[in-house]
Order: sequence, then structure tokens, then C-alpha cells
Amino acid sequence: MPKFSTPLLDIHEEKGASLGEFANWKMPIDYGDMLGEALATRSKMTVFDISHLTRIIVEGEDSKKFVNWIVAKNIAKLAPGWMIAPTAMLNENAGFVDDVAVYCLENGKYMIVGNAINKEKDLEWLSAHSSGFNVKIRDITEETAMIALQGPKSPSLAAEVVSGIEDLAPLQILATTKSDFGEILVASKSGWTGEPGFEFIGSPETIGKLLRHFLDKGAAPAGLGARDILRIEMGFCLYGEDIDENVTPIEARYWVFSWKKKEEYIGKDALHRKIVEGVDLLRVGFEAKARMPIPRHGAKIRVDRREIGYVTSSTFSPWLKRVVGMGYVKASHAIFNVRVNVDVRGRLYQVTLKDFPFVKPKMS
Amino acid sequence: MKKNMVVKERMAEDLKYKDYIIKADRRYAETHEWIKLLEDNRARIGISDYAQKKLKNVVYAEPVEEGASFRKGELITTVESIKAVGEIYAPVDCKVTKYNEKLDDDPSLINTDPYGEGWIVEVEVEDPSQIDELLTAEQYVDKVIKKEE
Repeated sequence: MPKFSTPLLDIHEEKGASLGEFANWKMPIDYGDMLGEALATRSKMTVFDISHLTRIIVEGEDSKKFVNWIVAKNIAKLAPGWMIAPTAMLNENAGFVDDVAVYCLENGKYMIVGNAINKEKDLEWLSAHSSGFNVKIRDITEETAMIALQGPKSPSLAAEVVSGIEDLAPLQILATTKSDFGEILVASKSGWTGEPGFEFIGSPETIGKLLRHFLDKGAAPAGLGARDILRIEMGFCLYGEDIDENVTPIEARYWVFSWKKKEEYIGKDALHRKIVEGVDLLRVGFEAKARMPIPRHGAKIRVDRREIGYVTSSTFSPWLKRVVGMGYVKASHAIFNVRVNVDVRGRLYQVTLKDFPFVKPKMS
Repeated sequence: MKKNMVVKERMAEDLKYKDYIIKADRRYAETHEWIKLLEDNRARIGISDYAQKKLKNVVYAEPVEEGASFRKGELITTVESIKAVGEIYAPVDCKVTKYNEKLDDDPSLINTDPYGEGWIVEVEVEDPSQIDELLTAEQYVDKVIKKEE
């Protein structure tokens, strides 16, 4: 049995969701057609329950100093009403503790949103590194819910519910804003699908009403399956699949850190060493030449028969109508537009190494 | 005698268990393949509505070489969805005479019409009596689906 469950489960059941377990959470995997749900996100509008994401409040006198020490991007100038994403908490070797978003809710009050799978670890990491800082760290994951409205039709619907949301710039947020359904703790414009999109965090009751409203107004429900397809189409990493504690942002080509403008943060020295010494592997994308099976995590990437790397995530893109994916290859072979082979159960299939994203983002 | 039995099976009602339609005009293997005799020793093989619903959106079917022979229980091919690989085993000893090439353009036929256009291979059955040993629709629901659900 999963340890946690989305508080919006009854709505998903009404909508015919097939529920599954992900990162200790019981949540909707799809509503019968994950390919259709991914397509609807790019052509119309869908709504996702992302309540499983870890939400941690950091507040107190030293919160700015502390968060700036913990994450790799510079948040010193992050003003209330804005967020930074993606960034990461790195360990001393510059490996990923977690990739996160940081929201500045008010002066001295931040929210860190991370991966569900890393909740306990994130809390322990924050607490272990907070000595000497006057901060209060509070996990609000279970007392809140979070949904994302995504797609080209989302701005007008979002604006009906939260006035002013349509004017937000990317990575701008509205903290504690009123709506007909109750107070919304955070409404933000970030998005991870490449489409215009908004996230809403609040009490399960308010967010439940908001979810029902969006569904009634024509947003199709979409689940974790569609979410995974969409993020792979964009070339975004999934913690545990594409990045982990042994991978640094350099190999992952995941630009979650500040360099010159920031003095110190955990992992900066190790990042610097990586840049000086160079890396052996690099994360690259690949796109199938013709129809092929989906290579699973760990499938070998070869040139002729020589092994040059491995796949970490792959899917069938319903938008591009072909298999796309990502993996790590030797830095000496990380050359875009070169054709290589992916080994699926002993058979070789031709793919082209590509940079990300596979689908051009429409959101500006 | 055998002919009569086939006729009787055709007339039997299709079964519905939960959302799953189980056609009564064919036999099933415990591994979720169906097989249906067309004429003489010619038969088609596909997967059940239950299996396609569990697999979800099928995005790839591995083509099968014509003429390939399989003993009962051997792997004929695989069909893949986003998150899973479905293995198709030979329900009886058989030789593949045709692979459903429509699946190359549209593997989702396995989802939309698992008992019709979504068939996977056409085979020549060595010994049709092996088909009679497989599960009827009712047995498949009772002994396989209900146990898994």
C-alpha cells in the first residue's frame, strides 16, 4: 500500500482514472488514454493533480541566506511574487539531492517544491544543514493539494478564476490570492510541458473545488503517464531516472546553478572541479529514425557494436509520432545529428542523437 | 462433431466482466492470447480485451516473419505500450502465415478492436484439437481474470 494518497482521489475516481502508485503516492496514472491526454495538453487544455510533489516552507530571519546556501541558483534577488525554477539542492560532490523550484511567498518566506520520491531526504537534508541559521522548516505537502492547468487554452480559463493571473510573466506567482473557491496559497505560471500553464496550491478543499471547476469548463483530466510523455518531449529530467545523487548538473546538461554571480553554495566547489577536469558522460536526446520499440531505462546505446552509453528515459511521442528519449553517452561521442544504435533486447535500432527539446515550447 | 461444437461456441453469448468484453467465439490461453479458427487449419491470434486494457495504449508491435514455427508456449512476438511490454506466446503449435501489417501503421488497433482488426498473426495450426484444450471465454474469466483482479 502506498504511504500517501492524493486528497483529490474521489474526483479522479469519478472521472474514471486508473490509479497507481508512484513514489509512495496513490495517484491517477491515466484516464484511459495517456497518449490522448498528452496530445490534448498540446492542442487544448488538461488539468493534472500534482499533489504528490513535496512542498516545504522555509521561513525565519535567516531564510534567504539559508535557501541561498542550499540551492545552486542565486535567490538573493528573488523578490516576493517570483519563483526560480528549475534549480537544485546539490550534495558536496555536486550530485543532485533533488531538483526543485523555489518560490518567494513574502520577504523571508520561501517554498521549496521538490520531487515526491525525495520528500524525507529533502527534509533531512534541509534540517541537517540548517544549524547556525535561524530558520523554521515546515512540510506542508499533506495539508495542501496542488494542480496544474496546462495547454494553449489554459490562460483564459485560469483568468476566470484568479484575476490577474493572465498578466503573469513566466515564473511570476500570486501568493495568497482570493478566488470563488477559497483562498489559493500560490498561483504560479511555470509549466513543464512547453505549453502555457499554471499551478495552484491550496487547501485540499479549495483545490478540489478548483479542479472540479476546470473539469466542468472543459479541461480534460490527465495523469502521470501523460506527464511523463510531455516532460520527455521537452527533454526534462525525472529524478531517479535521469538524474540522481551520483550525477552532477554538468553531465546532465541541466542548468540549475548560478556561476559567477553567486559566492557560495553546497556543491559549488565540486561543480568547479568538474568543469576543470571535464566529464566522461553527457546527457543527450535521441530520436528514432523509423518505428521501433521503446528502449527502457538501461538499454545500451552503441555505435556499430561499440557501447557508448545507455538510455535513461524514453517514450513514444504522440505529437511527433515517433520514439524519443534521453540517455548518457561518452562525452567523446556526444555529437548531435550523428546516427547511433539503441539495443533493445539484442536488436539494434537506428536513432539520431539530438539536443533538447524535441517539441519546441510555445510558452514565452 | 467438432463442427457442431464450433457452431455452438459462435452462438454463445459474449461475456462481460467489469469493463472487459470476452468474446465467446474463440478460445483463450492463460497468458491472455485468443485464438480463433477461420477455416481448415487456419487461425488468427490476438490478445484479449482484458489484456489490451491492462497494457493500455499500444505503440509498437514487433513484426513476425512469415513461415516461423512455434511450439505451444513459445514467444511469438511482443507488443509494447508506453509503460509495458506484452509478450505474445503461441497458444498452440503453429506456423505463422501472415503478420497483421496494419499494426505497423496503427498499433492502436490492438486497443480499439482487439478481437477484429487488431489481430496479430495468422497461423496454420498443426493440431486443431490443441485449441479445444484451451480455455473457453467463461473459463478464461473465472480462472484467469477474476484471479488477477
